[in-house]
Amino acid sequence: MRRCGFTLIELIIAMALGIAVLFVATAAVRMAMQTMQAANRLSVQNQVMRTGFLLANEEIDFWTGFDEPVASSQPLRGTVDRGLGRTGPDTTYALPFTELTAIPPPNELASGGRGFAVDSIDPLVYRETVFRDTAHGGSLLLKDRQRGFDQRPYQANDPRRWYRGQIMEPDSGERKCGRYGLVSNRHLGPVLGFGDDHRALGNFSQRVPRDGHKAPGVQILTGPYGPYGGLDWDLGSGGALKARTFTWYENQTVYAFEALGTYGMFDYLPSNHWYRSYGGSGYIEANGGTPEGDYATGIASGTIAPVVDRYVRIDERPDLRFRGFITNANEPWYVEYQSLGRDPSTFATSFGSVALNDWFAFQIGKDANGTAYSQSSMIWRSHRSLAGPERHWFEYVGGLRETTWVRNLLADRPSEWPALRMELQRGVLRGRQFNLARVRWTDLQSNEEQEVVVTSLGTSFRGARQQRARGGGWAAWYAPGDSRNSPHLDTPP
Amino acid sequence: MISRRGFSLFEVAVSILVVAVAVLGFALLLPAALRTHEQSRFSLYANAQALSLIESFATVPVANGGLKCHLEAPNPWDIPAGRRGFDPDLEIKSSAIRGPLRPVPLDVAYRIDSAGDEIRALLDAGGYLYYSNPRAVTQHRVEAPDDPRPPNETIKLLVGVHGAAQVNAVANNPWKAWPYYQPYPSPPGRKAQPTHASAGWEGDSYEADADPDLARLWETDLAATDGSWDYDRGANKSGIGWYNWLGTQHERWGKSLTGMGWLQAKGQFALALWYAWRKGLPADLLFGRADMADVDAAYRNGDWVQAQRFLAHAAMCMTRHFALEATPARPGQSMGGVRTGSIWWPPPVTGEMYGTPASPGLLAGIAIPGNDDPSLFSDRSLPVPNNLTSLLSILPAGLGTPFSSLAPPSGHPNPLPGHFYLTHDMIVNYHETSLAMVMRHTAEWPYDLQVPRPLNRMIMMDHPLMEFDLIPDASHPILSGQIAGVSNDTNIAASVKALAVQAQQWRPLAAESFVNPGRDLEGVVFDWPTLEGNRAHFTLTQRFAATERAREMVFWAVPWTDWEDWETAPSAPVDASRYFRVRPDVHPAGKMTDVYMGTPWRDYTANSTAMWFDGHQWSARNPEKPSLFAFPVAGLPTDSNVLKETIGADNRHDQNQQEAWAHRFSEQTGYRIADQGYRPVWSTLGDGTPVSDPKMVFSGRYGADRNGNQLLDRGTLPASVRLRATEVARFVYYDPRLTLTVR
Repeated sequence: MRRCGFTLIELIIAMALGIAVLFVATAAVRMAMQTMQAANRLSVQNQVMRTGFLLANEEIDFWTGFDEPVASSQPLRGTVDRGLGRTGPDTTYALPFTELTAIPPPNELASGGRGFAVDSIDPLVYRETVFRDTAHGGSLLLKDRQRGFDQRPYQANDPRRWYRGQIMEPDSGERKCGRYGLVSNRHLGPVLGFGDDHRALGNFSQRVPRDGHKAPGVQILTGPYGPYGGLDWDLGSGGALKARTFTWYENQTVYAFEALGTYGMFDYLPSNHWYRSYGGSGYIEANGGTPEGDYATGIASGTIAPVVDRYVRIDERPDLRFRGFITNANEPWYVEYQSLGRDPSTFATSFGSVALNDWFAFQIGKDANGTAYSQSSMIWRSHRSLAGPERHWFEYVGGLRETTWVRNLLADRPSEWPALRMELQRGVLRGRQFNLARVRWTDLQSNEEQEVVVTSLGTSFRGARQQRARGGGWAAWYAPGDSRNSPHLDTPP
Repeated sequence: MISRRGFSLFEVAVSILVVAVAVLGFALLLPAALRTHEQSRFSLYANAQALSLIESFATVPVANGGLKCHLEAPNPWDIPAGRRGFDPDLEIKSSAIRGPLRPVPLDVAYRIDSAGDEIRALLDAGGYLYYSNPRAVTQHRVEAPDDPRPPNETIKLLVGVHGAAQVNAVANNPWKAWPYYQPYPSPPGRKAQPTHASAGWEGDSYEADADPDLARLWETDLAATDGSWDYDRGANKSGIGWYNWLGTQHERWGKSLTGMGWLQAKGQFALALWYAWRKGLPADLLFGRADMADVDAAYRNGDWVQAQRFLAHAAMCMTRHFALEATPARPGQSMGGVRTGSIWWPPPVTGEMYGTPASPGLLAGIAIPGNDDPSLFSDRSLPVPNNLTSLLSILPAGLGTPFSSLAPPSGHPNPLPGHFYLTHDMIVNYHETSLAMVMRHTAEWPYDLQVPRPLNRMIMMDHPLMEFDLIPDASHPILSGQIAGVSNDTNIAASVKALAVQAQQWRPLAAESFVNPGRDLEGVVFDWPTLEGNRAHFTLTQRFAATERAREMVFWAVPWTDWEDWETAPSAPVDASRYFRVRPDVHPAGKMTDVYMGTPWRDYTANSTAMWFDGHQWSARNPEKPSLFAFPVAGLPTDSNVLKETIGADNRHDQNQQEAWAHRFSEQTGYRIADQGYRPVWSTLGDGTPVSDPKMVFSGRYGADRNGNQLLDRGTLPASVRLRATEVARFVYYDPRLTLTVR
């Protein structure tokens, strides 16, 4: 008998199979779609994250957030007024991406040289040193007048490189070890003596021990050393050393600081540099001045005279901007202002140095409000610094937090892509720059923010300056001495 | 023939099977794609972490700021000069408290499977498995949960390190924390803590070497008459000792120059003259008329370098008290200021109650000793002029030109035959020649330890190359003996003494044998050749192939945070080889007065007052410390806020986390956890909060807030479940053997 069609059983089986196939297929499709969706999200997230990571590293390397070499966004070039209310020399700060040749010369040094510390002192009047290197035919090797930035003098055997200040005495000490400002000073004819100590030490007088010979509230004075600047600077034929003030080191330090900020100063000066400078802390006067007033302010206001009663230009006191903090191991609560150098037990270099009155991080970058560095007082946030023992580093961390540079990335991303943000901190710690980047994005699965943090090696600030050609654009470099090399921001004239 | 229309059931079944296999195969590919994406993501994390590791290796300082990091001891075994916390080791530095890695709890780590059981093998060999520190790693002060951070998936990235141990250079030999740094010029330093550059010569330097004349400056009386002129601050407080002491009692350096500082400056200069004479310093240097040829001829002689240093310092001190030009007598405190010409002299210093005599000024020359009025000193019982005279009377013998026969400078307003005249030109010449001599001397002889290295210019050559000789032989047996001070310390229980009196240390080994190593802490002159190891074993300068020292860092991805106990599991054991140990402070009576945790002979729990100097060993502490729970949290519900139970950043370092334990501890006890340790003497804080056993806390027995979100997290997996790690990346590297600082 010929059968037509299906039996009920066959039909049922077929339907069952069909349903099963449909179910499996549907589930498979659904799962595939979900998985594909997840995979796509992961893929997008990975791309976003990778993009953020790459952009962060690119920013770390090229500094375009601070200075666009090929565009018009160059807020950190040129100079700004220091707010002294006058014009003339020593009234401006250079911004940190200003080319070296355009950085204005300091106050009492004539223009015409180069670099951030220019000096054209007449070599016939001011001669370098008594030490003639007989191994080199007796030629004078120690050219103190050449103060434009040049890394060669930072070789350890160059006498200019040796710090001549009194390292151990606190900034406000009473010069018990003598007046080291006479051998190490910003000024060739330093005014050494009282007044400065008179006022500054007044703050310390309450801590002076009472030994029975002292009355309460004692003021400690050193008295003037005399008209040191009036001495004959010439060495004379006998070669014996007379008045001698090394000024190269001091001026390198001060002008690196003023032109490049704390951050830049760390980058340019050697890692074991003593960030201390005699002769820059200004003057003291009894009425209306401030102990930490600027020397130039005193000049402008007419309150400074070399030695006039209680108005004294002081050249032997260390620059108060160059202060570190140390604590006495036995009296950890007592903080002493002192310049610091390398710790021999740890090999940590330059862990202390520069501080202003503000206790903020030495940090470059725009502040939390996005404010550029256009204020005349402190151009670059890197001027705000603190260094010292670890007990103070919470301020440092706080300062870092305050000056974190935030940038929203991928503004033109597809709408389904997650937001991407980069936070960048650049700082100096123990003489080393570090770059901390946080890349944040929104997790498309959980809709929560995710973050990856990296402290990455990158181009130093000095390197960034050398990336930029002096006339604009990126500098090209082929090989040492190659004529095709572009002059960069640090190239001497 | 029967014609078939349609498929047979068998064919349909086969077809369905084929389709099903295809669908399932496709379905299986989808998770693989997900895993690939996951792998890709963790690969990026691994690369970021590798960058951070490189950076942290360069930036993590090897120790803290130097507070009581004792680097030398009476015996070479009394301090761990080879402690791992100082090693230039990427793994060690990365897993320090501020580093990017933290050890995974051992209980948890053993639950993780990996290809070839690599993780287990690593753990069995004594290694650690690390997780990524979820916080930013910038190497500044211990970072605590500052701002609430978003979830950080990198915590699932685990890291292990393969590689053999290597012999690293030691920073200093255990007796002598060379290099001693001194500012130039400076007086001789003398104290027993040679650790910190900025402490100055009145603070932490020790350079009493084997030179009997230098020792005499400190220890003995120069003038047989009354002993007034020694460098030390003896009964009469004279010479450099007194000069410095006047201002150092409170603030290290002189803010309180009192009395007759000018007279003490003269005395100090006279002592420097004496020492220079004893050492036979050439006349051009002694009389401050040297030029470069004199420096070239003299700088090799360490005695002369030292003499010039003392002379220059004493001469510079004179500029504090004497001006260039002639000055009138400065009256005592009862009188006001005076004006002479353009110079206004300030009111008198109250402390200088005896005033200052009239001076011809440093341009003309200050006579030493001079004819200062003896009556000025009468009430201080200091027959100073007589002593100066008697002191100077012995000087001429070495000079050939007796001072007594010296003629005063021509035209001097106050000529005194037989006196030494110090002028400004001489002072500056002393200063410059001092610098020139020491710079050359120290750069040329890094293994000559006589002359302290100049702080004015610190260079690599200041640090001799040293390592331990790990291969003792018959002629160079390992050094052994009793730990200093143990036998006489009444604080140490007899049972402990019996257990821990013998110790050993390898012999130190330098690239060259040390010259002029000086004395040890107990005043014994080093006989270096009998102490050093076999120099044939010195390896630091040998060439090597990279493969000899290659290490491998492996990155795995594991969702270990899914375990229910991933935050409550105890910390991995803390690596004791990193501990700082504070050397015994041996009292003259032989009793140790200064004992801290880490000293090998003492169990700090045996003595309730023994402190854990946590702040001194931050690179050796439990790397999880800021996240550790200070109390048991196992009973708290999941997602409880545990900020109060978390230690947090040290002290008050982060104002944003005042609730954290360290902050509250500091506020309520007045002590810093970082510096004072956890003192068991407190059972509760002021608010009644109980203080946990510091041993439990330090060891991380209560677990840690490992992702830093301030919440108690628990995963869903029981501890009995095992997870498998996926390998993400491998990096091959090798460590240096020297501590390097590269900018």
